Amino acid sequence: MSMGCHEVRDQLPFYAAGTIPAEQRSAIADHLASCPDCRAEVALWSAVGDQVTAEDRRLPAPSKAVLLGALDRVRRERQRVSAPMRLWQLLRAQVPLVRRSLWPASAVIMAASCLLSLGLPQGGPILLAVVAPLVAAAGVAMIYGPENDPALELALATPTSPRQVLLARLALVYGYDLALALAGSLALSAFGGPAYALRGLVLSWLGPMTLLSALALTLSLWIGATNGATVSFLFWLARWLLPAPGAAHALALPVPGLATLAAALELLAGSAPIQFGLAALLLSLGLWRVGQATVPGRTWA
Amino acid sequence: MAGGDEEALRTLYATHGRRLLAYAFRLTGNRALAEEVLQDSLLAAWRGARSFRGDGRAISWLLGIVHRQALNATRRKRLPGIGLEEAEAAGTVLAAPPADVASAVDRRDALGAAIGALSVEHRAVLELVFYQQLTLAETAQVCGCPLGTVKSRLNHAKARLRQALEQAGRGAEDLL
Repeated sequence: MSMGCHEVRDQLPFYAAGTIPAEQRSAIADHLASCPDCRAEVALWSAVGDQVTAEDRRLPAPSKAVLLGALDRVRRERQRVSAPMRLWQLLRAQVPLVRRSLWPASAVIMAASCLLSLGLPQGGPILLAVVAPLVAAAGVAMIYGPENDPALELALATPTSPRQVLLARLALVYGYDLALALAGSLALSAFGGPAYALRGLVLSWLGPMTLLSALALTLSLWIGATNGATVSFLFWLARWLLPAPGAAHALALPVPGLATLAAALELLAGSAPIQFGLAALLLSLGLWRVGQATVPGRTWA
Repeated sequence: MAGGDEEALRTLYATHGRRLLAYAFRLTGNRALAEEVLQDSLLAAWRGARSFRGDGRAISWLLGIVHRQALNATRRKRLPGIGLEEAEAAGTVLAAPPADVASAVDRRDALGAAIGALSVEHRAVLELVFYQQLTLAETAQVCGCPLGTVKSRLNHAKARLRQALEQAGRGAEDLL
């Protein structure tokens, strides 16, 4: 259906400027084909656009002193703010930039796993120890990158380096999950009876949670948040589903190499120093990657 | 301040400096003041970047900062800038267009003079729509006004430009 003049008029300046979406553009063009009044108006706006643009193009580029003065003022301002205050500001500034749903979702899943643990027969794996690393890995995979942060492009041009941003967000999300898992462990040890000794509980999830988070974060920087989280999940599932060496297991499959993988995972799961060491290695790799991915002088769309 | 931070501000300046200066100049009409506004805006962007949530293009966020800084600067220096007084004064220009508009031979000169005779608010909107290539919503965001105000400013500017061209003996149809 053809549009009328009154529907088109307000859009004509934007039509002349070329900032109207393609589908509306063709509808307006149809109207213009049969309306000399609106055509004259577009001609007026086009001439205005040419004039304004020509005037602006004649304006010389800003002098270098503008930038140097701004840099000088930034330097002076930064000196006035103490280091702990800067750290606090950095952490606080990241809170609204992390996905809002992450906070309640992590808390609900951790709380549910604690409640379910109380109902499950004792002797098997502790549910919190299975769930806490997964929750932390999923959260940490989502802290960085354009997939998660529409403001990242701008943040990259701010005085905070990308590595600082990454570390601040990691500290926030990992710290939050750590606090949740600790609270869950305290609750289990208080209400769950003698099987839930606090020290054993904490040791059951702390190492795996740290390693899986580092794995998810670093993978997310290369292959995106969703893929990074998925690969980490599969890694963690393999740890629980593959048969322990020498044990009879429902999933014991005659696949070559499976036993070796299971043995490696078993070794990994049983050694906290290996877990923390690997986590540190993965995090270093991630920080190196973030430094590489931000090239000075990049342009914004 | 780490070296990378300086690089970031330099990048911002290299990418958007010219456009931001053009807008600052359009609002202040004074080159030295426009550069002062640009420097204040760079600092304000650096301070406020952590609060930018990415709901929109970076350029319209930056132009909004320039708009507010220019408003502050013109108020501080008591210069005729963007304000209500200017909008009211615009009415008197409509009644009596400058002599050079009427006598302009070339229609481009007539149009340029007529645009120059508009109030700062109206010139700002033309600048945002045509040179800065913003949408209606982005223009309203930069000016800090409702969409309807942008539309009425455009209509007002159009009426006055058409009138100025007619008085210069150049109708809008000449532009076809």
